[in-house]
Amino acid sequence: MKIAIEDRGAFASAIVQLESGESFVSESGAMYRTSAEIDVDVTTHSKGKGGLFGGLKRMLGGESFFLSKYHAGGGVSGEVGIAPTLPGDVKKIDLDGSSRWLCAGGSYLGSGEELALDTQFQGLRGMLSGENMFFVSVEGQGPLIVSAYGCIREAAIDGEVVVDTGHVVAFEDTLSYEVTKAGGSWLRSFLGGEGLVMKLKGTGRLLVQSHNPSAFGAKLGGMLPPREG
Amino acid sequence: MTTTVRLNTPAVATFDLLEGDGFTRVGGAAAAVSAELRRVTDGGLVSATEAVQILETQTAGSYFAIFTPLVVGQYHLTIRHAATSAHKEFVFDVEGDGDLLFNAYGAIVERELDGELTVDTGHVVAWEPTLDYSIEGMGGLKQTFFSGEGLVMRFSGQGKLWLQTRTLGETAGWITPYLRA
Repeated sequence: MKIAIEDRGAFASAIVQLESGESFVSESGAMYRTSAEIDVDVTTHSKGKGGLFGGLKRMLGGESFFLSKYHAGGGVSGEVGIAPTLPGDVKKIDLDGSSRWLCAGGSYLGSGEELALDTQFQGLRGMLSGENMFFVSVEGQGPLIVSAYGCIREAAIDGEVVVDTGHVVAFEDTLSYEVTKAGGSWLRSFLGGEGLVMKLKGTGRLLVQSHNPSAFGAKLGGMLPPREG
Repeated sequence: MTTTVRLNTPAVATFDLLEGDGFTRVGGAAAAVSAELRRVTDGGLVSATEAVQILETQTAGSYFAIFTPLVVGQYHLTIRHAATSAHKEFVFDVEGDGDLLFNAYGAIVERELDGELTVDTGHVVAWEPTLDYSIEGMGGLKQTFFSGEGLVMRFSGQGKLWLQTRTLGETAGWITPYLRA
């Protein structure tokens, strides 16, 4: 399986080359083109965890209920192009099995079939924040593709860092995290518009995005006419 | 040499015809043409200066407001309905010897196709009519309704195909939950 990230920057996409017998899983709806030889199926399953419950949990995490699965059958090969919805960069992370990765809701784009997906609840404070309350956790050995709103910056954390929850793309679970208030008090934190932040501690990799999707959604949504019905 | 390119109008909500060569080529897909900006939208609105000759304007049915063949210099432009499109969208046929400039939402990906390719309809920007296509659901019923892919275009044959890496439709779907109730 070869994965190339094309058009890095605002409108990046990933092209996944599948050889005979290989499979790839993506958020449903992410496929924008595929070779005719590739089988496309819909599943609620991912390796290990899955089924209906897995689908429900993903939905709560801001991801689709279903996953799309692409498979190159015996003797055939082909490619699948996947692209996110928002303008922004796409990045591939190669998991070596030594650590899990946690993706913020909406950042998970796709992964090799050999990776196990699960959903992790951020706690009640996450619920209050208006940000996505769940992370998609990805475990095993294989390629993971994440997408961002804006550009992606990687930081190697050794110690402690504080990040606005809306700017987190993904991080290694060798980092422990806590969702907490930004300011001195809960009231000041919310009035200050910073809402909640994540405190990450330990040693590991962190990916952040330059733009905050839910802040953009709230701003633009407020300028648009109300929903009908 | 005369080439024909077929444009999927929802992908190119507007497209511009330019004269001269003094513009930046984008993603290998741009190209064209005659001096000042002309703009043709899929609503059938045509704005043009004297360089553009509008040969005929007529209403073709209630849904399709205008059927407008244009001649822009050496370019022949036909606005026509894609007969098999479930979206009832327009397709522009642009024919002539020169360059055509079109834009997209997202990066424009050019594919030289020799064989088959399945593309989500919203990602199709333009193609050469040497390619055959059919509009279908993605596999069986289950895939079509649950995959989030909706309809796809299955291209086959030889020719160039231009795709965009983002769609306005999906973006509109993304913003909907943020609208005031």
